[in-house]
Amino acid sequence: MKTRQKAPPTARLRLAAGGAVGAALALVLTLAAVATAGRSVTRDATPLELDATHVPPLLTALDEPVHLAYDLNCASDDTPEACEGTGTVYLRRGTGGPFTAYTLAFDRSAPSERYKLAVPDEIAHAADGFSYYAVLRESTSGGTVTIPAGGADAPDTSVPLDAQAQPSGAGATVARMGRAVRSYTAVRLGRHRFGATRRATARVAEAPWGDGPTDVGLENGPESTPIGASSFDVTPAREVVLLDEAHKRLLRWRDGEAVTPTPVAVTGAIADITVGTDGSTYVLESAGDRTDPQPTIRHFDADGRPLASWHAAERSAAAIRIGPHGPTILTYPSSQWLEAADGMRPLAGRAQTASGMLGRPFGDGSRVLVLRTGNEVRLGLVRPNGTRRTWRIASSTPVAEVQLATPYRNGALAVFRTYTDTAAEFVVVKLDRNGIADMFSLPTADWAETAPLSRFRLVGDSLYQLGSSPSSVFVDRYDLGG
Amino acid sequence: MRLHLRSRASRAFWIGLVATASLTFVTSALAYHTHFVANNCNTNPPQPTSYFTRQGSIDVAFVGAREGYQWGGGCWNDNNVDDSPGDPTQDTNTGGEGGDCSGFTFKVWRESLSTGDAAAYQWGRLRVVHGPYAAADFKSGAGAPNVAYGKSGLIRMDALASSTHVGMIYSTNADGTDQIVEAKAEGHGTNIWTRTYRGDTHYAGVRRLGWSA
Repeated sequence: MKTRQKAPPTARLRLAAGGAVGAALALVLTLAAVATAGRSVTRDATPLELDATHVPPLLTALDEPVHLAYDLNCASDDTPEACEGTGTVYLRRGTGGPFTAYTLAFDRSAPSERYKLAVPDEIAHAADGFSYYAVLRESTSGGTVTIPAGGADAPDTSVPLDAQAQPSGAGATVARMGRAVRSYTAVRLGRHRFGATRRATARVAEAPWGDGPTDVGLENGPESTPIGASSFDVTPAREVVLLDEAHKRLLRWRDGEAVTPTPVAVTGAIADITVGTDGSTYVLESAGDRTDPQPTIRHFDADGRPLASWHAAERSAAAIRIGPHGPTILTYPSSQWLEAADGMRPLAGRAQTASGMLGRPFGDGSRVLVLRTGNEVRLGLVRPNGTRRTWRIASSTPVAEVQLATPYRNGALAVFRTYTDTAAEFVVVKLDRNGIADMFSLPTADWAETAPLSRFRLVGDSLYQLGSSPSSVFVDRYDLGG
Repeated sequence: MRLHLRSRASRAFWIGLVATASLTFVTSALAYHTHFVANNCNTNPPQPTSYFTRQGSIDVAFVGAREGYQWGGGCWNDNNVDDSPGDPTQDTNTGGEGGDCSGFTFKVWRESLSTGDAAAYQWGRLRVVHGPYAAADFKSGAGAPNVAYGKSGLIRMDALASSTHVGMIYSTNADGTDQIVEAKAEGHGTNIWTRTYRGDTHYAGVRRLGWSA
């Protein structure tokens, strides 16, 4: 039998020393490699980043002064002092002709809206509104930021609510005004009565949370609120398409029956979706890949095959919908809807920002402007021929986001959230020339988080709501009737 | 015999080298992202300041935007890349880049490690610190610097907090949504996103007290 000979003490010492030297050498080499690798991936040198924020006064009333207010933000934590700068607004009546420069007043003591301009009355209340853009310059670095990003090519616009607005320019006449701008329709909702919500006409899709073939997954660990089924859409043929981003697939229901899911190569991050007229799907990922935080648009054919992938032109993107020429995206800081593609051809960078406009554009060429200010929602429907109809909806209960605002029959349909510190519901209003044609409330059904503006879709006379509970995610249909 | 011992010592050397290297590389591969904090962050004392503004906190938050997320973390650089993507989502010890939601809020709001101290402290981006508050603490307005506040009255750099998450208002939007700057989760990183927290019953309003402007 073969046996191993025990080494003498000195030999054992050498043996141990040899092993220790080897281990130490390995550790040193590894630490050096790791330290080098660590240094190589953690660059920390970028020029001063700038950002500007601005809430455009899209719909202005004749009896109120109009201000344009901005903030200039810099990526700086070196001192307790905030960065400062100067700003210029380029402003004009209507939507054509040259801009005139106005200097923004700076108020260091203001908690927000530190750069401000009172718009001269003759511009603020011009019959066809006004258009403008701003350039802010940071004092130390000299860096500038233009908002909206399209500048003079795609300025912000403001539309008057009132018929009594002053005509703009020699060519404008009162008769033209009368055709183009009618007096707004005022609606007073009073105090919202919680707990009187409408029952759904039908539940057209439902899936339990889980990891089975037709389940819907939740993103993230316990450190965040549940996020799942971040968006949905409904095709003209009434097929419900649900984005199960945790499992990277689209779930579909036809006539209430689930059909085979379609895998799609998405990275998640609370994405929004819209289904094109050809059955292809556009996905807007709010954060893209983790090593590339720019919002990303991904286009998949009806079978889930990737067709294209490209960036949104701005730092944040909140929604994607089909517009007159293809997909459009709502982006910030511009607050504008940008054309993300021209038909099937993706648009990037300047081509996107130059197409920006306030108000969501619809396939028929109409546009809907939305402004939530205080407890009031202002809506403006601009038809392709330029005629406008405007509504001013006042509530005694606070109003949060307007989830949906869309042309509907001869008027518009809006869904917004009303809330207190302890309760919330959605309010659906059908608007016509006389005010509210119908109104009802819906439960928020928001156990899980979704993309911010993805909870409702309107197809024909049916309103669809994406909802969730601790056990499942579902889509309910509410038929609006006559 | 001498040769034999030398050979055994040599063999031990190589076994030690290979075993330790394997162990170290396997460990580092499993926890690769633990090295961001080790390689980049510090424990420097904060700079007390008697003047601190909402705009100044926006600027601090903007540094952290587009960086990583680390549950229980609080150190980031300013290269607009998540330097430790893909960390396990339920592990506070991976040493990755970024704060978590409450740590990010603590640092952006420039608060004290002492919950009884409402004064302001400028923490550097590379100072690894989480602070004493979880999201639920912010929601309840716990600590001398913080107070629960009605949601409809919140302005920028106030926060919306649930029992599991907190984010600060970067800007309001025309449609009634808010742009929130937040450390969202490992799969999202830290950034500025449009959210609907204000009308969400899971969320309550919270305000940092003592702003100079």
